[in-house]
Amino acid sequence: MNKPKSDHQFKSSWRWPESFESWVESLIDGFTVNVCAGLSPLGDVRIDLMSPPEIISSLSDAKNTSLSDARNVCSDLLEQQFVDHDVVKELYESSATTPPGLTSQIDTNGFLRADVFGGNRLPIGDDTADWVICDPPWKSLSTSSRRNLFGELTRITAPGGHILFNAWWVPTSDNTTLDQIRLRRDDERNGAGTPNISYASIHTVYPSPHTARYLSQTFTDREFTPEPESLKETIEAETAYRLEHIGGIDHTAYDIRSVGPDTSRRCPHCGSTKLLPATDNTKLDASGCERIYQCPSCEYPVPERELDAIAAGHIQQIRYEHGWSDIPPHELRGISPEDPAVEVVDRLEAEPGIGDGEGEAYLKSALGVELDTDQEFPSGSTEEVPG
Amino acid sequence: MSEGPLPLHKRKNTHLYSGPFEEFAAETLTTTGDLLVAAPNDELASIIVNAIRGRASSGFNRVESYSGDQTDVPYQPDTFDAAVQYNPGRGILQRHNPLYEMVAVVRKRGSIVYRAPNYIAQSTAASVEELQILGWDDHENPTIAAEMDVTVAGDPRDEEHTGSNETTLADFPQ
Repeated sequence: MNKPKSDHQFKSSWRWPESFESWVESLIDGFTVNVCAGLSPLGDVRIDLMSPPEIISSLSDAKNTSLSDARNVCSDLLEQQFVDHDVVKELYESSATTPPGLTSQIDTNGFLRADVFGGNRLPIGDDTADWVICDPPWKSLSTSSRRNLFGELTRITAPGGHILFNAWWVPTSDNTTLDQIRLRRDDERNGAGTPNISYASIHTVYPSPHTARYLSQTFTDREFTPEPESLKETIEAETAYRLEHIGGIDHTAYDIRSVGPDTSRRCPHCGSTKLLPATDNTKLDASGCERIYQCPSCEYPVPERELDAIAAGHIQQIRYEHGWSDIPPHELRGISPEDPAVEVVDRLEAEPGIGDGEGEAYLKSALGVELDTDQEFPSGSTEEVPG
Repeated sequence: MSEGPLPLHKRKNTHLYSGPFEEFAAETLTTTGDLLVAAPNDELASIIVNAIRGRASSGFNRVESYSGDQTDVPYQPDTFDAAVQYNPGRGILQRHNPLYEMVAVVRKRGSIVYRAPNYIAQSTAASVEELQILGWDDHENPTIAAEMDVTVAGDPRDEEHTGSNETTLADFPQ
């Protein structure tokens, strides 16, 4: 690792004030990564250039800081993290130097040493964190460095996850929405009594720029919380965006669940979950009052009525009525999904839309049994929505 | 105002503004009378003046532009009914003194629309009515804009104005 540069060495901003830290703690949920953590106890993994003993050691040399205060703060953290090792005692007994061996203890207990300055890659995998906290200490940072830093935070955050970023600037990126900005009076880094202000911004990471852009566009002013309740709703939002802005299709004319990711609404003939809005001349049935969806796999025009029935668990009824299955629904309901007879599975796999090896998965699906993670029906559906 | 200025979270409004500062100033200043526009250069002053004059609700009789040293404004106390102050300089004294100058030259119950990089000056002779965050797109440093009302007549520059209260994010409504 590069030697710390003088302009981004850790200085005096070693932990947030209690009220702010408590507020952040009330927000975070799930696996949390704290970047530029200092002595903050927040996060399952904390990343900084220096470990806590080294930080305390640097504080003892710095002006306007108190080593005893720092140790008091740090003792809470260390008691939580290193119960089998009396590091607090060692810290108190130590002078400005870090006890030998202590650094390695801390490095292996939730601390990762990394220099994130200048666009270096964080030692965390893609889409890993539910929450990422970052309070970079640098005031003067180029736009490219700001972009690189936030790009790394976005990379390690799982879609649907959040980033809390506190700095003198507000980052943006294509894959995130900016949900909130709050003024925060910064007394620690500007101790001259002037009410300097930093900006605590909360971002949500989305699977693609389309989603983030769509959600951002749905708000006329900039004080918003565009967070959908679930990732599924997020993907539906993206589907609507792509239909409208890329496919040129009025998404309000269709049930977005049918052309989105809702796997309970599928083609009754082949099982595909990626249905498309039908072309103009077939979008309504003969009575002119029912919307029709097109299956890109088998080209069966699926009436909305059938999709609703399938979502309600009546796929076998639909298939039986169409003659695609010769097993009456009541007969199927009498079969144990966990241990079906081989003959039944073979019969199902001989029917259209159910491939070899998909019989059991279809049976479970038709009977409303939750599939295992390695099971999928239909398998290998890779159709894309328009665009 | 013996208790000093209110902390930030006690202000009427603290939120985001999507337009430029001159638009915020033009929307905010609905008073009449005499207006002073203080900016770092003539071009910026002209932009602000034009934005304010372009508003149908603008009823100022006289608009003065000033682009000189904002820590030493060459006007007598209680000369204007409103003022716009753009981007005072950095540094501790340069943060507060320009505001005190504006507070002095604006009459009691007059308005000041104030803009600064990432701090807000405070005066015990002016109450902050509204705070806005401006210009936060694309990794930029946002700026702060505030509407203040002058609460003291005459020249308050000799008073103690640097009192401040602890404000943290937890104090803001979520």
